Amino acid sequence: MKVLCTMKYVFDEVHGYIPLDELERRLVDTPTFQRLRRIKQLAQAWLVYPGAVHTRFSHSLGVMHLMGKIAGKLADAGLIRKDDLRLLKIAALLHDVGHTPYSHAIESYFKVRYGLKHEVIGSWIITEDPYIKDVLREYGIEPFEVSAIIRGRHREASYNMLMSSDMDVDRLDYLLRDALHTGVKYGVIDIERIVQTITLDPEGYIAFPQKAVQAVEAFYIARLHMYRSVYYHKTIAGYQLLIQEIYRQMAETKEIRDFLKPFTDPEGIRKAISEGNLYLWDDFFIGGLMNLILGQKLGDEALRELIKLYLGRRGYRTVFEWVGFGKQSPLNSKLVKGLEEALSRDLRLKDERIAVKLYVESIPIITEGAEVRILKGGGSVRVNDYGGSIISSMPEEMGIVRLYSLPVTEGYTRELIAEFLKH
Amino acid sequence: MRIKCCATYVVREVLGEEPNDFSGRLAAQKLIYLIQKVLGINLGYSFMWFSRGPYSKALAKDLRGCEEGVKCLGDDELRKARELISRLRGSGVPLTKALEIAASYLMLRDEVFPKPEDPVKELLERKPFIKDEEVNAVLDVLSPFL
Repeated sequence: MKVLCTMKYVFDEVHGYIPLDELERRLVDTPTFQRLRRIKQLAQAWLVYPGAVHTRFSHSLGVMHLMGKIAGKLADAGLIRKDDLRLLKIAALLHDVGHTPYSHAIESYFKVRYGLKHEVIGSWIITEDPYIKDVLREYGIEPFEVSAIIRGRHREASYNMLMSSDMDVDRLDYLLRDALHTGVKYGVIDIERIVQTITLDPEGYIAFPQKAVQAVEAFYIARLHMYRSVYYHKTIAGYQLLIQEIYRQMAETKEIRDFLKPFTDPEGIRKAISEGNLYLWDDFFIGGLMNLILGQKLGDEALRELIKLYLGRRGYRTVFEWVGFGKQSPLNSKLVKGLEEALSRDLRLKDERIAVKLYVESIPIITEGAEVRILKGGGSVRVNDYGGSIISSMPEEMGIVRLYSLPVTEGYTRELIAEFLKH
Repeated sequence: MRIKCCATYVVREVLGEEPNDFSGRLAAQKLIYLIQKVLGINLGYSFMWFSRGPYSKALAKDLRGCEEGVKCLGDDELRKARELISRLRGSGVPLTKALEIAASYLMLRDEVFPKPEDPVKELLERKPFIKDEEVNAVLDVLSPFL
C-alpha cells in the first residue's frame, strides 16, 4: 500500500481551496475522470441560464470536499470509523464518474430503453476501468467497496445515506453550485450551519438537533425553488426531451449508429470501459456528431431537422402546463388520461410521437424514507413529523403535467388544448 | 424496466390493503423487495441498504404518487406472492416486522459489501428491536423459497 504525502490545492468557486492528496490527484488525473470536465453539470440549463456551463468535474471535487468535512466531523464524534474517511471521500469523488454526456438528458434514453442508470455505469468504471481500478488497488482501496457506497449497498447504511438521501453530500454541493451558476438567488443554503450541526440518529439516519431546524427548513425550501426554477424548468425540460430524442434516433439509425458505437447500448459502454476508452464519450463527442450529421447530410431529414432546431434553440414549446402541490401526484390522474386520449383521438396528432410530447412528473418535496430526522428525547422524528418546523405543513409532492410541441405542430396542438380545456 | 404505479397494484393485491401510512409503506418496500428477490419477478425497482433495510427511492415515489395501480403481475405470480405473505403471516411474527426481517436478512446475505460473515448476527446487532427467535421463525417459513 502506498503512503499518502503532499497535498495540492484546487481553487473551487463554491468552497474555496480544496486540498487533494496523492491518491485523489492520481484519480483526478486519469482520462476517465478528466472526461467530467467535458460534461456539463446541468445538461441543457445553459439554454435558459447562460452561466450554467459548470461541469461534473468541479461538482465531483465539491462533493468530495463536503464528504471530507461532514464524515470527518462524524468520525470525531465516534459515529463512523475514522479508518473509512478516505474510502468515503473517494466514493464521493467518483460518485458521478458514470454520467453520460449531457448528464440526465442522455441518461434518460438509457434508462427508458435499457433500465441503465449512471450509478451502474459508475460501478462498472470503478471496478473495471483500467485507469481507475488499478489506482485504487495501488493505494489499498477495494474498488467494490467504493462502488457499493455509490450504489447504496455498503454494509454501513449510514455511508449509503451520506451519499444518497434527502440531505446527502451530492445535493448539498449541487444546490450551492447550481444556484451560483444559474443566479437563482433562492437556491442558496446555509452550508456552514449544516456542516456544523449534522449528525446521525441512533438508527444511523442523517439527523440534526432541534436548534438547527431552520437550516433544515431553508434547505428543503431552497431545493423546492431549484426544482421549479432550474431542474424542472419548462424550457430546460423541453430541451432535455429534444436531445434525448436526437440521441435515440442517432443510436437507432444504422448509418449514424456506426459513428456513435460503442456508446449505443449497455454492452458497448461496458466494453469501452474495460478497454479504457470511456473518456471519448463526452458532450463534445455528441455535439461533434450532430455537426457532422448536418455537414455531411447523414441520416434522414427528420433527424437533421431536429438537430437544426436544437442548435438554433427552436425546440419544444410548452402549449399546456399544470403545476400542483399536494399529497397525490398526477402520474395516472384524470388530467393525464384525458390528455392522452385527446392526443390519440386527434387525427392530426395521432402519429406525431416526436413532434408532440406529454411530460408528467411527480417530484417528492420530502422523500419518504430518506428524509432528515430531528433529534428528540433520545431518539429522532422524521422532519415532516416534527411539529416545531414549517416542514410539517409543506406539501409532500409537486406534480407537473405539460404538453410540448415542436413549432411545426404548435398551432393545432394549441387548438386541441383549447378544445380539451372547454370540456 | 420499471412500470410506473406497478407497486401500488401489487401491494393492494397481495396485502389486501392500501399502504396509507409511513409504516404501511415501509412494509410495502420490503414486500416488493422480496417479490423481486425471492420470487425472481423483476418489477424494475433497484434497492439501497438503509437503516431499516432495503429501500428504493423510485418505489417510495410510486407508493406515494399513484392513486390507481397498474396491473403488472400475472395470476400465477400473484398466487406465489400471496403464498409468500401467507407463510410470513404464519411465522407468528407481526407481518410488518417479518417483512423487515426477511428482506433485511436477504439483502445482508447477498447484496451488501463488505459481506458480513454471519448475516443473522449482523441483523441482530443492527436491529436491537428484533429478537433471535423472531429471526429463526421468519427464516423457517422463508426456507422453502430460498
